[in-house]
Amino acid sequence: MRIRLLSFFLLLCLLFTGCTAVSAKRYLIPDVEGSGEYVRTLNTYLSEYTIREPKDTLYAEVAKGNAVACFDVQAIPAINRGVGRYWYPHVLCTVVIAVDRSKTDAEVTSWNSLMGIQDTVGVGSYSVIRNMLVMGAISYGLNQENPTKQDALGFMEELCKDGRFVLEDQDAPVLLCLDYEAAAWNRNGGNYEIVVPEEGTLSYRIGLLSDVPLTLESGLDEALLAAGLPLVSGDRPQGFPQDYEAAHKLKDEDYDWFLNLTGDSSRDLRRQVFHTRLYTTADLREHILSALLVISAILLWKGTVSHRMIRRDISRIASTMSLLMVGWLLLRLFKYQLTQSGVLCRMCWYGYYVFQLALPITLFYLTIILDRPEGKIKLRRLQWVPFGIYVFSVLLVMTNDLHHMVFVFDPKGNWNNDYRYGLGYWMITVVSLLFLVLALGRLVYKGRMSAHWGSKIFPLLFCGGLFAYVIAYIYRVPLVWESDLTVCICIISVLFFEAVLRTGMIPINMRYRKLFVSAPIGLTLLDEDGHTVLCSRGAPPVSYSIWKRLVTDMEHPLLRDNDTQLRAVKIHGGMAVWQENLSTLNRVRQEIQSVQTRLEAANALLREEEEVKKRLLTAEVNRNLFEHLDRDMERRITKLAHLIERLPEAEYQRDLTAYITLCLCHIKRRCNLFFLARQGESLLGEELSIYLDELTELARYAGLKMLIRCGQNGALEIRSATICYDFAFESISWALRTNASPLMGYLELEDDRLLFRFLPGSDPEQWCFSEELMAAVSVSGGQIVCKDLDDAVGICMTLPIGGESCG
Amino acid sequence: MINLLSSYLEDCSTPQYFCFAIRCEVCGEFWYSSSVPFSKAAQAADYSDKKELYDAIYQREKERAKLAAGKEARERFSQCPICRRLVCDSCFLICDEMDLCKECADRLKEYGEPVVP
Repeated sequence: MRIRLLSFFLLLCLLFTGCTAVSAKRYLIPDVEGSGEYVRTLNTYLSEYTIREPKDTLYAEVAKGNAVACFDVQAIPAINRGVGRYWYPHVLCTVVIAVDRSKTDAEVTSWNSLMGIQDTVGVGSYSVIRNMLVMGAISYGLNQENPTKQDALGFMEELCKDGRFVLEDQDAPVLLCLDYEAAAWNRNGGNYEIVVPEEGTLSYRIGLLSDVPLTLESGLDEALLAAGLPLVSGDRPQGFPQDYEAAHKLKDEDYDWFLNLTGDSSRDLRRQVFHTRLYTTADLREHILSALLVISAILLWKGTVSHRMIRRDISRIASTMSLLMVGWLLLRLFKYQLTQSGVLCRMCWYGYYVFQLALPITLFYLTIILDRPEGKIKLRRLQWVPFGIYVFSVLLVMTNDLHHMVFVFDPKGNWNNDYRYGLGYWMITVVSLLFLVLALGRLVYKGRMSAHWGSKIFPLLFCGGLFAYVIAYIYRVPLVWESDLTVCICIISVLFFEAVLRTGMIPINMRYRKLFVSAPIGLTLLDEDGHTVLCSRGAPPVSYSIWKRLVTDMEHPLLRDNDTQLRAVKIHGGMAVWQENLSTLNRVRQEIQSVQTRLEAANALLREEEEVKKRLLTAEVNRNLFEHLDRDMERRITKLAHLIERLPEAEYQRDLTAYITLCLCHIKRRCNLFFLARQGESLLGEELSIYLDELTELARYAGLKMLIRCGQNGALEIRSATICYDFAFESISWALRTNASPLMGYLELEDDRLLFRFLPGSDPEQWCFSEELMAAVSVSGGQIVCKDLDDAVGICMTLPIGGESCG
Repeated sequence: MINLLSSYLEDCSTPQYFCFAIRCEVCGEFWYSSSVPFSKAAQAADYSDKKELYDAIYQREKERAKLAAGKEARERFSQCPICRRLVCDSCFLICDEMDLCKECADRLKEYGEPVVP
């Protein structure tokens, strides 16, 4: 915004500068060198005009309403191009050869006769227009039919070979000048022979060019003749040659070829005649064009540097350096436009150092920040010390007119070329070079590890070249002195900086494209409009809709397709988008899902198999159980079935029925005990007592008087309980068979064993138990014996205690 | 067509903005609609006590955004007349006889230029 305002302000300044009011006062301007006498004479007849030295170009002065004394070769083409409307020619001057007879006796009659003499031939002026007039006259003289520039240049080059041709030297024995000048020298005591070359020469008119009509009072011609000036009409005062036959007066149709022929005369004289400025700019136009070209190149270079720089602070410094060079060149351009060597011109000259001195300090500052992270630089002292030195140096130069410590010259003389360097100049030069050396030293030190030899050689080479150039310029080595200091320093500086960039002393983005091409990651850099700036190999382009979505929300990633996820981060001037390949992740996820599905299916299958197996096992267990039960109960059931079959024919059906019931009860309880045994549970003594009471009750129905007392409380091992129950049942069965009523039974715990005793009403010696019972008792470590029980013989079963003891 | 597209729209909205996506069934690339900010996003975040109200506004604006996304998608997606799939302009070819998706055009040996190269 500030830059726009500044640009607008400058534009306004330029506009208003161009709109300055036309001064009411009019001036008579002697633009032509040597036209002072002419103007002074005219001034008598133009009383409303005041004589003034030119402050601007001829055409600018005319545009301001002034009357300007000039040659017809200037005025006529100007009028044809719309500059100036009125042309008043008064004086006719001819290019002649003035031979100083006090210095030479050489016979000179023509242009070609100059080749045969030994004396130096000079042109009294160095101004462009005077060179043009002389060149035009020689060209015409050498070839009147078809005058060419090359003829004149060749002629002068031939003269120059022996060093006999000089410019701006009025002391030469032979001078190429205008006839009225030579006549004036003679009037002032000179001894010049005025020779109108035989081959031919040109006559030019001097007059007034103006935008407004001039009213000249009568008597001007006489006054001009009296002032020693020849008239356009051909009248000449005393002291002029009589024969002007060879002189050709330019006509209207001659001006075009004249201008074509004499254009760029300064440049051609320097290069083709004097062989100077062969490798640098030779005239104002080339100065300006070269400066503009270099400015354009620097600005272009600045753009590429800004584009290549990684760090913005370094980029800013590089831009500053570029702008310093551009400013320097622009100031030089401005100085070229100044027609007078006044104070402004000198200030412009001093102003060069504002830019020139800032360059090494800026470079030095750049080398300081180079090895520090961006934005983390606290170098106040280091910033201010060079800046202070810079300000002091600039002030020293800008105030040179007061002390002349930097440049020593005569302000009233030709200070533009004739000056010396003072102590101040050497001071600021040494300081500048010191900063440059320090900066270079830091750069080389930074690049010492680089294996690339160019990183050391090229910057040193350019820097050495810069040193050599500056020193040669100070000592005014001709080749260097003739060159454009500003342009050369700028070019060398740019080359130096570019070499530093190319060799990697300053980090740049140059190889980003190569890096991106080689990068395996899918990274894309987009500008602010969503255009791809850099893209790594294999990264697909980011579509506009995706870019818009990323601009809205960079925090959340988004899917480009099912296998590509995009993430973005904002960067300076756009965004960086990198792509994550999710295909592997997706494949793994799919594999996991597939495995999970397969596992679930397998699990379901296993569950089903387990269920089936479980069912099979249960069935098998049940089958085994029932087989076991069947085996266990088979004998009893068979016996029961046999009893039931015998029942209809039995004598004592009641008793048999009761016995069958007893057997059924036994089988039932035995089954209960069987299952309890399978479950691994114990049986409480109280429950066993109930079982035994149940048997007792049923035995009574069968006609047996009996009583069983169970003195066992608490849990009994099921196996012991089963044996006890079987023992009770078989004892009752035996008692019923043998009619051993009454039967007394007693179950008790004694020490560590169970004692189950039966006292029958008959002889117990005949007891008979099943083999199964006997085997079970034996396996359990017990025994069944017939023994004396309280003065009677009974059956006694002893069993070692197993299972939980009730105590 | 809008109804068809609307049915294909995938919701990528956040509490701050509404955005919808459609996946091209040929190239697989997602297209995202222009994000429309939720007008009350800041208030909804600040006043949790009015959540119900802001939820209602959110849903209303979301419906509008979805409709707009459908219209926007209509400019970029076409339905292949052969395979009936939704394809993006890059995968939809303008052929001599009938405009087709790339895969159908390859299969039927039809030649054409994509709508968007």
